[in-house]
Amino acid sequence: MFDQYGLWRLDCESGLVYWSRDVYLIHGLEPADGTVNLQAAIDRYHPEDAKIVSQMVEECVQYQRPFRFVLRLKHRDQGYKLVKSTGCYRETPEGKSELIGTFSEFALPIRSIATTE
Amino acid sequence: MFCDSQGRGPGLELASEYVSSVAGDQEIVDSLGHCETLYDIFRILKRLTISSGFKYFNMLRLPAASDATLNDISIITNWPPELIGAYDRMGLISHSPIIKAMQQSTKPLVWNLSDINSDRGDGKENEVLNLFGEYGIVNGVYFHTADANGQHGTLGLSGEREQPDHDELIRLSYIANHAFEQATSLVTVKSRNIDVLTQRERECIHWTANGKTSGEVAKILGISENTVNHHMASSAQKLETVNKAHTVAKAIRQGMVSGKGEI
Repeated sequence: MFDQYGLWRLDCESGLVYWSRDVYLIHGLEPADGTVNLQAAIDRYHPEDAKIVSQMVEECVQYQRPFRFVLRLKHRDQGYKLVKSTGCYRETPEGKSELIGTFSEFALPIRSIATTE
Repeated sequence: MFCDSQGRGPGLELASEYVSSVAGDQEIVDSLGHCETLYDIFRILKRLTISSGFKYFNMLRLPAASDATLNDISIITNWPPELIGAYDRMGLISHSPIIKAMQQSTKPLVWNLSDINSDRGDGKENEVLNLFGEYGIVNGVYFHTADANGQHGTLGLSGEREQPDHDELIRLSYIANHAFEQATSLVTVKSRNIDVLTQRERECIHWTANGKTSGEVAKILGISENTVNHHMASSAQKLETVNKAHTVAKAIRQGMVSGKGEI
Protein backbone atom coordinates (compact mmCIF):
# COMPACT_ATOMS: atom_id res chain seq x y z
CA MET A 1 0.00 0.00 0.00
CA PHE A 2 1.33 3.42 -0.89
CA ASP A 3 1.77 6.09 1.75
CA GLN A 4 -1.12 8.50 1.93
CA TYR A 5 -0.47 11.77 0.17
CA GLY A 6 -3.27 14.27 -0.15
CA LEU A 7 -4.04 17.54 -1.85
CA TRP A 8 -6.08 20.45 -0.57
CA ARG A 9 -7.50 23.60 -2.08
CA LEU A 10 -8.82 26.84 -0.61
CA ASP A 11 -10.99 28.90 -2.94
CA CYS A 12 -10.15 32.50 -2.10
CA GLU A 13 -13.39 33.89 -3.51
CA SER A 14 -15.74 31.60 -1.62
CA GLY A 15 -13.49 30.97 1.39
CA LEU A 16 -14.23 27.25 1.10
CA VAL A 17 -11.80 24.36 1.47
CA TYR A 18 -11.71 21.04 -0.38
CA TRP A 19 -9.70 17.92 0.43
CA SER A 20 -8.68 14.91 -1.59
CA ARG A 21 -9.38 11.45 -0.28
CA ASP A 22 -6.04 10.94 1.43
CA VAL A 23 -6.33 14.12 3.47
CA TYR A 24 -9.48 12.72 5.06
CA LEU A 25 -7.76 9.38 5.69
CA ILE A 26 -4.75 11.02 7.31
CA HIS A 27 -7.19 12.82 9.62
CA GLY A 28 -8.70 9.45 10.47
CA LEU A 29 -11.97 10.30 8.72
CA GLU A 30 -14.09 8.70 6.02
CA PRO A 31 -13.61 10.54 2.72
CA ALA A 32 -16.51 12.79 1.85
CA ASP A 33 -17.60 15.00 -0.98
CA GLY A 34 -18.08 18.71 -0.73
CA THR A 35 -16.53 21.38 1.42
CA VAL A 36 -14.52 21.00 4.59
CA ASN A 37 -15.22 22.66 7.93
CA LEU A 38 -12.01 24.70 8.12
CA GLN A 39 -12.54 25.73 11.75
CA ALA A 40 -13.00 22.11 12.83
CA ALA A 41 -9.98 21.05 10.78
CA ILE A 42 -7.73 23.64 12.42
CA ASP A 43 -9.08 22.68 15.84
CA ARG A 44 -7.68 19.17 15.31
CA TYR A 45 -4.14 20.50 15.65
CA HIS A 46 -2.35 20.84 18.96
CA PRO A 47 -3.57 24.14 20.47
CA GLU A 48 -0.10 25.71 20.08
CA ASP A 49 0.07 24.60 16.47
CA ALA A 50 -3.49 25.54 15.50
CA LYS A 51 -2.65 29.22 15.79
CA ILE A 52 0.34 28.73 13.53
CA VAL A 53 -1.72 26.91 10.90
CA SER A 54 -4.33 29.65 10.73
CA GLN A 55 -1.69 32.37 10.60
CA MET A 56 0.25 30.67 7.81
CA VAL A 57 -2.89 30.21 5.74
CA GLU A 58 -3.92 33.80 6.34
CA GLU A 59 -0.54 35.16 5.31
CA CYS A 60 -0.41 32.93 2.23
CA VAL A 61 -3.72 34.46 1.11
CA GLN A 62 -2.70 38.00 2.04
CA TYR A 63 0.87 38.07 0.74
CA GLN A 64 0.65 35.23 -1.81
CA ARG A 65 3.77 33.58 -0.44
CA PRO A 66 4.17 29.81 -0.06
CA PHE A 67 4.51 27.97 3.22
CA ARG A 68 5.32 24.58 4.62
CA PHE A 69 5.05 23.07 8.05
CA VAL A 70 5.38 19.92 10.10
CA LEU A 71 2.99 20.19 13.04
CA ARG A 72 1.04 18.07 15.50
CA LEU A 73 -2.39 16.71 14.52
CA LYS A 74 -4.69 14.87 16.93
CA HIS A 75 -4.52 11.17 16.31
CA ARG A 76 -7.71 9.52 17.55
CA ASP A 77 -7.05 8.56 21.16
CA GLN A 78 -3.31 8.28 20.81
CA GLY A 79 -2.20 11.84 21.33
CA TYR A 80 -0.70 13.57 18.33
CA LYS A 81 1.07 12.62 15.14
CA LEU A 82 3.20 14.80 12.90
CA VAL A 83 1.77 15.90 9.58
CA LYS A 84 3.44 17.82 6.83
CA SER A 85 1.73 20.38 4.64
CA THR A 86 2.76 22.76 1.94
CA GLY A 87 0.72 25.56 0.43
CA CYS A 88 1.04 28.14 -2.27
CA TYR A 89 -1.08 30.79 -3.92
CA ARG A 90 -2.01 30.61 -7.55
CA GLU A 91 -4.41 32.00 -10.14
CA THR A 92 -6.35 29.49 -12.19
CA PRO A 93 -6.56 29.75 -16.00
CA GLU A 94 -10.01 31.29 -15.39
CA GLY A 95 -8.40 34.04 -13.31
CA LYS A 96 -9.65 32.83 -9.93
CA SER A 97 -7.46 33.01 -6.83
CA GLU A 98 -6.85 29.92 -4.76
CA LEU A 99 -4.39 28.26 -2.43
CA ILE A 100 -3.35 24.71 -3.23
CA GLY A 101 -1.17 22.40 -1.25
CA THR A 102 -0.13 18.95 -0.20
CA PHE A 103 -0.74 17.02 2.97
CA SER A 104 0.91 13.88 4.32
CA GLU A 105 2.07 12.23 7.47
CA PHE A 106 5.59 13.21 8.31
CA ALA A 107 8.04 10.38 8.05
CA LEU A 108 11.79 10.19 7.83
CA PRO A 109 12.87 9.90 4.20
CA ILE A 110 13.97 6.39 3.36
CA ARG A 111 15.24 5.42 -0.05
CA SER A 112 12.78 2.95 -1.52
CA ILE A 113 10.70 2.18 -4.57
CA ALA A 114 7.24 0.79 -5.02
CA THR A 115 5.06 -0.30 -7.90
CA THR A 116 1.50 -1.39 -8.37
CA GLU A 117 2.44 -4.78 -9.84
CA MET B 1 7.30 21.98 15.33
CA PHE B 2 8.80 23.23 12.12
CA CYS B 3 7.52 25.77 9.72
CA ASP B 4 8.84 28.11 7.13
CA SER B 5 7.39 30.77 5.00
CA GLN B 6 8.49 33.58 2.78
CA GLY B 7 5.58 35.66 4.01
CA ARG B 8 5.73 38.87 5.93
CA GLY B 9 3.47 39.71 8.81
CA PRO B 10 1.94 42.87 10.17
CA GLY B 11 3.60 44.46 13.18
CA LEU B 12 6.96 42.86 12.52
CA GLU B 13 8.47 45.69 10.54
CA LEU B 14 10.48 46.67 13.62
CA ALA B 15 12.53 43.51 13.24
CA SER B 16 12.90 43.82 9.49
CA GLU B 17 16.44 45.17 9.76
CA TYR B 18 18.58 43.55 12.42
CA VAL B 19 21.20 46.03 13.65
CA SER B 20 24.14 44.74 15.60
CA SER B 21 23.85 47.32 18.39
CA VAL B 22 22.14 47.96 21.68
CA ALA B 23 19.46 49.96 19.87
CA GLY B 24 19.01 47.06 17.42
CA ASP B 25 18.72 44.57 20.29
CA GLN B 26 16.07 46.71 21.93
CA GLU B 27 14.14 46.78 18.67
CA ILE B 28 14.22 42.99 18.61
CA VAL B 29 13.06 42.80 22.21
CA ASP B 30 10.28 45.31 21.50
CA SER B 31 9.22 43.26 18.48
CA LEU B 32 9.15 40.12 20.61
CA GLY B 33 6.85 41.93 23.01
CA HIS B 34 4.40 42.53 20.15
CA CYS B 35 4.34 38.90 19.07
CA GLU B 36 0.92 37.30 19.27
CA THR B 37 1.83 33.81 18.07
CA LEU B 38 4.74 31.41 18.18
CA TYR B 39 5.04 31.94 14.44
CA ASP B 40 5.72 35.65 14.97
CA ILE B 41 8.51 34.71 17.39
CA PHE B 42 9.78 32.08 14.95
CA ARG B 43 10.33 34.71 12.27
CA ILE B 44 12.22 37.04 14.58
CA LEU B 45 14.45 34.27 15.87
CA LYS B 46 15.12 33.06 12.36
CA ARG B 47 16.29 36.53 11.32
CA LEU B 48 18.41 36.80 14.46
CA THR B 49 19.95 33.39 13.78
CA ILE B 50 20.89 34.19 10.20
CA SER B 51 22.15 37.72 10.91
CA SER B 52 24.28 36.38 13.76
CA GLY B 53 25.98 33.98 11.37
CA PHE B 54 24.32 30.83 12.68
CA LYS B 55 22.14 28.40 10.75
CA TYR B 56 19.66 27.04 13.23
CA PHE B 57 17.93 27.94 16.45
CA ASN B 58 15.93 25.83 18.82
CA MET B 59 13.96 26.87 21.85
CA LEU B 60 13.32 24.07 24.31
CA ARG B 61 11.87 23.70 27.73
CA LEU B 62 13.99 21.65 30.06
CA PRO B 63 12.61 18.11 30.14
CA ALA B 64 10.41 16.65 32.82
CA ALA B 65 10.76 12.98 33.73
CA SER B 66 7.95 12.09 31.32
CA ASP B 67 9.55 13.78 28.30
CA ALA B 68 11.19 11.16 26.14
CA THR B 69 11.94 12.99 22.91
CA LEU B 70 13.26 16.26 21.58
CA ASN B 71 9.89 16.74 19.91
CA ASP B 72 8.26 16.63 23.37
CA ILE B 73 10.26 19.57 24.70
CA SER B 74 10.66 21.66 21.58
CA ILE B 75 8.83 24.99 21.69
CA ILE B 76 9.93 26.45 18.37
CA THR B 77 12.82 25.63 16.08
CA ASN B 78 14.00 25.82 12.54
CA TRP B 79 15.85 22.54 12.78
CA PRO B 80 14.82 20.48 9.78
CA PRO B 81 12.14 17.97 10.78
CA GLU B 82 14.31 15.20 9.34
CA LEU B 83 17.04 16.11 11.85
CA ILE B 84 14.59 16.11 14.76
CA GLY B 85 13.12 12.82 13.60
CA ALA B 86 16.54 11.19 13.31
CA TYR B 87 17.60 12.62 16.67
CA ASP B 88 14.56 11.10 18.37
CA ARG B 89 14.81 7.82 16.49
CA MET B 90 18.35 7.48 17.84
CA GLY B 91 17.10 8.29 21.36
CA LEU B 92 19.75 10.96 21.85
CA ILE B 93 17.97 13.16 24.36
CA SER B 94 18.48 10.82 27.30
CA HIS B 95 22.25 11.41 27.29
CA SER B 96 22.29 14.90 25.80
CA PRO B 97 25.27 16.80 27.20
CA ILE B 98 23.50 20.06 26.32
CA ILE B 99 20.42 19.24 28.39
CA LYS B 100 22.61 18.09 31.24
CA ALA B 101 24.60 21.33 31.15
CA MET B 102 21.44 23.45 31.08
CA GLN B 103 20.05 21.54 34.05
CA GLN B 104 23.21 22.10 36.05
CA SER B 105 24.06 25.71 35.31
CA THR B 106 22.46 28.98 34.16
CA LYS B 107 25.62 30.17 32.40
CA PRO B 108 25.71 30.31 28.59
CA LEU B 109 27.17 27.15 27.12
CA VAL B 110 29.51 27.68 24.19
CA TRP B 111 30.16 24.31 22.64
CA ASN B 112 31.72 22.53 19.75
CA LEU B 113 30.41 19.17 18.67
CA SER B 114 33.51 17.04 19.00
CA ASP B 115 34.38 18.25 22.51
CA ILE B 116 30.94 18.21 24.07
CA ASN B 117 30.08 14.91 22.47
CA SER B 118 33.23 13.08 23.51
CA ASP B 119 31.76 11.48 26.62
CA ARG B 120 28.03 11.05 26.11
CA GLY B 121 27.68 7.93 28.17
CA ASP B 122 25.51 6.11 25.64
CA GLY B 123 28.21 5.13 23.16
CA LYS B 124 26.59 7.12 20.34
CA GLU B 125 29.39 9.62 19.79
CA ASN B 126 29.98 8.67 16.17
CA GLU B 127 26.27 8.67 15.29
CA VAL B 128 25.94 12.16 16.71
CA LEU B 129 28.97 13.46 14.83
CA ASN B 130 27.65 12.02 11.58
CA LEU B 131 24.11 13.24 12.10
CA PHE B 132 24.91 16.84 12.96
CA GLY B 133 27.75 16.98 10.46
CA GLU B 134 25.22 16.18 7.74
CA TYR B 135 23.39 19.42 8.60
CA GLY B 136 26.45 21.61 9.02
CA ILE B 137 26.15 21.85 12.79
CA VAL B 138 29.59 21.83 14.35
CA ASN B 139 29.31 24.43 17.12
CA GLY B 140 27.01 26.88 18.82
CA VAL B 141 25.79 28.36 22.05
CA TYR B 142 22.91 27.59 24.39
CA PHE B 143 21.42 30.16 26.77
CA HIS B 144 19.61 29.10 29.90
CA THR B 145 16.24 30.81 30.05
CA ALA B 146 13.37 31.06 32.49
CA ASP B 147 9.99 32.71 32.66
CA ALA B 148 8.08 34.36 35.51
CA ASN B 149 6.29 31.10 36.30
CA GLY B 150 9.51 29.24 36.95
CA GLN B 151 9.53 27.32 33.70
CA HIS B 152 13.14 26.72 32.69
CA GLY B 153 14.32 26.29 29.18
CA THR B 154 16.99 27.11 26.71
CA LEU B 155 17.52 28.86 23.41
CA GLY B 156 20.29 27.46 21.24
CA LEU B 157 21.95 28.88 18.15
CA SER B 158 24.07 26.54 16.08
CA GLY B 159 25.97 26.24 12.85
CA GLU B 160 29.62 26.62 11.97
CA ARG B 161 30.83 30.10 12.84
CA GLU B 162 33.47 31.41 15.18
CA GLN B 163 32.83 31.39 18.89
CA PRO B 164 30.82 34.43 20.11
CA ASP B 165 32.73 36.91 22.25
CA HIS B 166 31.71 38.10 25.70
CA ASP B 167 29.69 41.11 24.46
CA GLU B 168 27.78 39.03 21.94
CA LEU B 169 26.98 36.41 24.57
CA ILE B 170 25.49 39.10 26.79
CA ARG B 171 23.40 40.56 23.95
CA LEU B 172 22.11 37.20 22.76
CA SER B 173 21.37 36.07 26.31
CA TYR B 174 19.25 39.23 26.83
CA ILE B 175 17.27 38.50 23.68
CA ALA B 176 17.00 34.77 24.45
CA ASN B 177 15.34 35.37 27.79
CA HIS B 178 12.85 37.83 26.32
CA ALA B 179 12.03 35.40 23.52
CA PHE B 180 11.53 32.50 25.93
CA GLU B 181 9.30 34.44 28.27
CA GLN B 182 7.18 35.74 25.40
CA ALA B 183 6.87 32.27 23.90
CA THR B 184 5.73 30.68 27.14
CA SER B 185 3.33 33.44 28.02
CA LEU B 186 1.46 33.66 24.74
CA VAL B 187 -2.26 33.57 25.08
CA THR B 188 -4.92 34.03 22.47
CA VAL B 189 -5.40 37.72 21.89
CA LYS B 190 -9.06 38.37 21.41
CA SER B 191 -9.37 40.80 18.60
CA ARG B 192 -11.03 44.10 19.15
CA ASN B 193 -12.28 43.72 15.59
CA ILE B 194 -15.05 41.43 16.74
CA ASP B 195 -16.74 44.41 18.36
CA VAL B 196 -17.05 46.26 15.06
CA LEU B 197 -18.72 43.35 13.28
CA THR B 198 -22.47 43.07 13.39
CA GLN B 199 -24.19 39.95 14.62
CA ARG B 200 -25.10 38.95 11.06
CA GLU B 201 -21.56 39.53 9.83
CA ARG B 202 -20.19 37.29 12.59
CA GLU B 203 -22.75 34.62 11.73
CA CYS B 204 -21.87 34.69 8.03
CA ILE B 205 -18.17 34.34 8.81
CA HIS B 206 -18.89 31.56 11.28
CA TRP B 207 -20.87 29.44 8.81
CA THR B 208 -18.42 30.06 5.96
CA ALA B 209 -15.59 28.94 8.24
CA ASN B 210 -17.66 25.86 8.95
CA GLY B 211 -17.65 24.95 5.27
CA LYS B 212 -21.02 26.29 4.15
CA THR B 213 -21.48 27.85 0.72
CA SER B 214 -23.14 31.27 0.60
CA GLY B 215 -26.33 29.55 -0.58
CA GLU B 216 -26.28 27.27 2.45
CA VAL B 217 -25.50 30.17 4.79
CA ALA B 218 -28.46 32.06 3.30
CA LYS B 219 -30.80 29.15 4.06
CA ILE B 220 -29.43 28.73 7.59
CA LEU B 221 -29.87 32.40 8.42
CA GLY B 222 -33.09 32.91 6.46
CA ILE B 223 -31.66 35.67 4.27
CA SER B 224 -30.82 35.95 0.58
CA GLU B 225 -27.51 34.84 -0.88
CA ASN B 226 -26.90 38.41 -2.03
CA THR B 227 -27.25 39.57 1.55
CA VAL B 228 -24.77 36.94 2.72
CA ASN B 229 -22.26 38.17 0.16
CA HIS B 230 -22.91 41.75 1.23
CA HIS B 231 -22.22 40.86 4.87
CA MET B 232 -19.00 39.08 3.90
CA ALA B 233 -17.87 42.06 1.81
CA SER B 234 -18.65 44.41 4.66
CA SER B 235 -16.72 42.19 7.08
CA ALA B 236 -13.74 42.17 4.74
CA GLN B 237 -13.73 45.94 4.71
CA LYS B 238 -13.85 46.15 8.49
CA LEU B 239 -11.21 43.47 9.01
CA GLU B 240 -9.06 44.86 6.19
CA THR B 241 -9.01 41.54 4.39
CA VAL B 242 -8.88 41.03 0.64
CA ASN B 243 -11.33 38.19 0.03
CA LYS B 244 -13.55 35.66 1.80
CA ALA B 245 -10.70 33.21 2.39
CA HIS B 246 -8.65 35.93 4.04
CA THR B 247 -11.64 37.00 6.12
CA VAL B 248 -12.26 33.45 7.30
CA ALA B 249 -8.58 32.73 8.03
CA LYS B 250 -8.18 35.98 9.99
CA ALA B 251 -11.36 35.34 11.92
CA ILE B 252 -10.19 31.85 12.88
CA ARG B 253 -6.77 33.11 13.93
CA GLN B 254 -8.26 35.84 16.07
CA GLY B 255 -10.70 33.48 17.73
CA MET B 256 -13.80 35.13 16.31
CA VAL B 257 -15.25 31.89 15.02
CA SER B 258 -16.96 29.59 17.45
CA GLY B 259 -18.22 26.07 17.18
CA LYS B 260 -16.44 22.74 17.16
CA GLY B 261 -18.43 20.96 14.49
CA GLU B 262 -17.43 17.89 12.52
CA ILE B 263 -15.10 18.33 9.57
